[in-house]
Amino acid sequence: MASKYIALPKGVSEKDFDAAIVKFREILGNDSVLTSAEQLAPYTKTMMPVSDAEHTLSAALLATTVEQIQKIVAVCNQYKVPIWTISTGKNLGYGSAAPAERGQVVLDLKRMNRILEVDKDLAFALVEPGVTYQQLYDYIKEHKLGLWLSMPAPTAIAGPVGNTLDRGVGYTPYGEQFLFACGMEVVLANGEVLRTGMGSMPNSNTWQVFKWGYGPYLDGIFTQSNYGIVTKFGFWLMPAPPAFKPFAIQYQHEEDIVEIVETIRPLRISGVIPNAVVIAHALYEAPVTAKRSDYVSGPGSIPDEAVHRIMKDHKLGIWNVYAALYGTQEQIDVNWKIVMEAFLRSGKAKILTEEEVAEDAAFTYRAKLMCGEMTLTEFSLYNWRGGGGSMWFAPVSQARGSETLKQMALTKQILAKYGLDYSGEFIVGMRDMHHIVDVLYDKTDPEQVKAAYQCFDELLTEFSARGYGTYRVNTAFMDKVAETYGPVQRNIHKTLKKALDPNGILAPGKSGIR
Amino acid sequence: MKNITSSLALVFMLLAPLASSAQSPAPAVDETLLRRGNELYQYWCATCHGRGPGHPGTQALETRYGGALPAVLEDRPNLTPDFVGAFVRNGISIMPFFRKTEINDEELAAIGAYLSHTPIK
Ligand SMILES: Cc1cc2nc3c(=O)[nH]c(=O)nc-3n(C[C@H](O)[C@H](O)[C@H](O)COP(=O)(O)OP(=O)(O)OC[C@H]3O[C@@H](n4cnc5c(N)ncnc54)[C@H](O)[C@@H]3O)c2cc1C
Repeated sequence: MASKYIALPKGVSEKDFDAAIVKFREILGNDSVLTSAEQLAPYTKTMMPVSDAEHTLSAALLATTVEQIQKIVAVCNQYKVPIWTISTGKNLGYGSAAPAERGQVVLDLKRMNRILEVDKDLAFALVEPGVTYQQLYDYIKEHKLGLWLSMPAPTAIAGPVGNTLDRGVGYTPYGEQFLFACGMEVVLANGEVLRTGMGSMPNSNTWQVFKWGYGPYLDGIFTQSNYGIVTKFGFWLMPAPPAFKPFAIQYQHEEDIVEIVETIRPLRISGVIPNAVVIAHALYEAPVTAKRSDYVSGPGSIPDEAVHRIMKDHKLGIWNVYAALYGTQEQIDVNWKIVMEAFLRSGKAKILTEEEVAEDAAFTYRAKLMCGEMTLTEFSLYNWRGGGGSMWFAPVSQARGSETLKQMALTKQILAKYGLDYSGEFIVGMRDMHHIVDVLYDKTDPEQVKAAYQCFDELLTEFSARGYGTYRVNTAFMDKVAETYGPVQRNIHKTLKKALDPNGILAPGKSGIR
Repeated sequence: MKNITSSLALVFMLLAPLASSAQSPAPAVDETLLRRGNELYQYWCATCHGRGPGHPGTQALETRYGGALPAVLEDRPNLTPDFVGAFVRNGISIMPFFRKTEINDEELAAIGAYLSHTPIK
């Protein structure tokens, strides 16, 4: 007999699921429990090279309050129904709004979107999960708070809670998002509500200003995890500086990455350049203005010769460094001198200031990201191949020139084997680099889908064999990445899971944890 | 599940001729709805579908239509609310989906009305 659901949770009978759905409807009302294929369509589209059927949800629950979520987890425990929580649900390239496993129920918190507090003096915010960056940006503007947001490239449509919980990155001096998180409220699988850090103490007013509280620090275990449902989230905002100077630096040869990193590292560690600098390959920037089909046709990855033509036509370096200085004009003038001296030493760098490249679309969006302004220009990456296939390959490397060169060469070599292009960039952290490669392919072409899957699998295998770990991955490869971090960590993750969520109802499979 | 991209392409082919013939005679205009639609369009869609460089949605439509239709959605003569709705909910190729929790059905109807109504744009 055909099921009335488009999927069912693993091991749950339709009868039990019916009963759970009835209870969910009692808690949320009919309109906030979605089960029809049409209603669920937006939750089923992913960019991964696996059948969307593997990640098809059974239902979506649209909750708006902590009390509703407490009741929902009680029902989930009763019927062993697994739920996959999303906040703004735009985890594009990492699994989108679809669950890790077929049949899981998506708990969509987008409508739980109150901005609870933004403190101008202490420069912090406390928000609910559904708040988007655009919403917070508008609020800050409207109330003239003079604070800046640090956002991932999908800015407007994503949000601080989901981005930080997945340990995402932005591009201002506050770019390593989780470093600036301060205090969470979490609904646990048993329905209890935990406030982390100082939030545990009645009447405390330091929840959003002191991270550590007393005893073991717990916030970390609720990121990239499935130990709880975060319902409030505090984080620090950057006071708008009196002056801001974005700039670009171009280099012409791939090997120059060694010099670039060796030059940036001391400037970054000493704080002369305070933000998450980006070193973008020509193929990461090209899609903003160039069309792949104008340069190559047919299968195979784009040859270096074509990349050089693109660089010439679109005024790109093979490496394009984007960074900025922040502070008073006097501070910026002093630091600019230091930056110029460091980069001009070898004679290879071409430094471009805002005055010179203000009209350039790639520079414009990079500058916006570095000062917390809205842009979706980076989505042009997807026009490169078309067909909507994308996976972020995100290994971490030391901020050391020789390491970045090794990682780039290995990535290029594996991508080329499968006919895919190197659309890569390095985001310079405090001492690390997130090497971010968009593995772009045409999801409507079965051959490319197969190649992309194998390619990604090989990238993970080869990188981990050399000790290069991945910081975050899409939902099709979470187990594989968890495996690369060894059995002891996996066991600890599992032990915590058993203790906090014995029925395994919260996002089974997240980061390979069940 | 069959490929959403190809089924949407089919929807497009079926709707395109209908859409243009449905332009006349002009229906009664609900100015409030159109204004709301315009606001919502600017809020949710214009960052990608706006005019000029740096707008990936416009860039994608330029490639798709090769000049046969305007690449900027606000200039398109043949959009209908159903057509707009299908793409917003399902996404297509590079365009992400938008859920009811982001853009609710009434808001989507307003965006659809705005984009289907050429004169005030
Ligand atoms: C062109 C492009 C560029 C991108 N650039 C960047 C970038 O610069 N930096 C970056 O970090 N990412 C980037 N991304 C990836 C992604 O789009 C962003 O990270 C985005 O912020 C994630 O979506 P979201 O904020 O809506 O979070 P969500 O999708 O809501 O959440 C992400 C994940 O966190 C967990 N989670 C969410 N809410 C909760 C909760 N309340 N409780 C417990 N767990 C929860 C879930 O596992 C969920 O899948 C990019 C994507 C694209 C398409």
